[in-house]
Amino acid sequence: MIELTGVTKRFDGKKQVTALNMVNLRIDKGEMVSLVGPSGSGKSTLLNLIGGLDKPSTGEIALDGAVLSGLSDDALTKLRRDKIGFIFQFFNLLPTLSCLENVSLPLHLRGWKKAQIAERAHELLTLVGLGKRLEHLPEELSGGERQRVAIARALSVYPPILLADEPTGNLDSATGVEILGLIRDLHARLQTTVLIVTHDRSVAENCPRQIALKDGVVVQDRRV
Amino acid sequence: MILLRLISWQYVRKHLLRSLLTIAGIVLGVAVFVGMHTANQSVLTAFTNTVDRIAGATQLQITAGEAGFEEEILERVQGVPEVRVAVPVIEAVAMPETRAKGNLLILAVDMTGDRSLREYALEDGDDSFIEDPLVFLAQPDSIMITREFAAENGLKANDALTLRSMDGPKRFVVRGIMKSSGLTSAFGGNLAIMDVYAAQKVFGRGRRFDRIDLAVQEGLRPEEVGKRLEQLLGAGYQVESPSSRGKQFESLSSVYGMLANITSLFALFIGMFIIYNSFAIAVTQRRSEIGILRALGATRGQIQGLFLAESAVGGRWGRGWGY
Repeated sequence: MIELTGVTKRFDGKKQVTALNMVNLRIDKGEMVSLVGPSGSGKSTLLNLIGGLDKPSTGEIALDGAVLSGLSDDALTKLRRDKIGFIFQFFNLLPTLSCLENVSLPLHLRGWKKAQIAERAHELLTLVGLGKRLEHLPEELSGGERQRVAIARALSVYPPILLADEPTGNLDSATGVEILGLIRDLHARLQTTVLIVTHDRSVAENCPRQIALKDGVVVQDRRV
Repeated sequence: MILLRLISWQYVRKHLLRSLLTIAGIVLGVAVFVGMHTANQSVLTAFTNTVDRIAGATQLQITAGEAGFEEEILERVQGVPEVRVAVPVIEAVAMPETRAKGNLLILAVDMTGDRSLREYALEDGDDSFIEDPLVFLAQPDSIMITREFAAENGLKANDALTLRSMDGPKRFVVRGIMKSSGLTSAFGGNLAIMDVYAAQKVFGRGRRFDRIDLAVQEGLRPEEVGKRLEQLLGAGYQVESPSSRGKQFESLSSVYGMLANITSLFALFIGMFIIYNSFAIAVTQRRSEIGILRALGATRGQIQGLFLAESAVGGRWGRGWGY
């Protein structure tokens, strides 16, 4: 379960910007939620805060009861490693590594054994339909295939939470539908909590719960 | 280790020139530092060896500055009962007019008494054997050279050898070629022996010597005899062991050594700057890679460890090549 209480995030610069303002939110285990809103509404900021990539200025965020602000840097990293998978708009694959190596990387960071890593990476790439492209470099793949690799990497330890920042934003509409279908399928099969930031209305409408943000404030929270 | 292969090695391959520049910085720093240090040590060792080899069995040496001293001092020293043998020495450096480059150190000694302190093994054979040392002594242009110097300059017994000194060119005749031994290897083999009284005349020293080399009677301690001699000779005379002369040079050369070390540290600093700059650029360029790794669950320690391991590997390669 993800719980946000009075979360505010300000960015200090020449002029202080309030990206999120007193956000209260609760997302239950196994939910699939879309976060929508115009550019600058605070969607990605909210996702980064939930993922522990950034810290709120005020307020609390708790994942399965663990308050993120109370964790040390290493504990936060461990929590992120074990509980959260990230999918980014621009895939963020390491260009010099093959599909298999990209998917293996989080498992290496966890200190898994070589044989286990190979087995899991192979299994995940097969799951996303890339079982025959294991040794290909990202540059040898299409946009949709790269996003599939990124999804396989995000799922490497079958994390209970999957955070996706514009996962279809850099894909054509047909491939976007395909990727969304894959995420929905994985959500259904693995019971993962999925939070998708999107501009795309059709993506948002495919999620059972839609949260809309505007100027850092939750303006709509509806279940379909 | 796996991260080094997956992340660092791939980065090195992609940015080969920058990686080579970093390693070249380390190589440069280490090579200059080691080079200067080695050169410094070599100069000191060579000087100490030369002093030791020229000194032979000498236990004490008496000097009186650059001008040397009168012959009568030798008689006074030889009259001291604790002194077993005392021989006069003149040292001069001259430039030979030969094909090989480099100066020749001329050690002028009393040929009749000096063999108790130094060994000059002469080459056998008709060309180089001195049948009668008196013939050698009777002719002031007589000189003995080392086998190495003879070979280098194509000289043999009875050949003429012209040396340029401060008093102008002097013509000598090679009347002996010494076998390779401890003494002849001093000064890189560029060593010649002649009679001290002939040297007084040839090098315009009048009736003065540069130095007295001596050995004390058996069972006596050289330090104690040295003190006795200092009392006898009075102020202006230094009585010391050959090794302490080496130490004097060591202290004189410490300024040179310090400057060499500063130069090498400067080189090391330049190397460090190159490495720092290179790593700073690499870290900045790899921010997104670091961000991805952090998002995938890499701890700060793992990232720091990765960069430290990269620098350690680079440092090890650079050190190996630079050394």
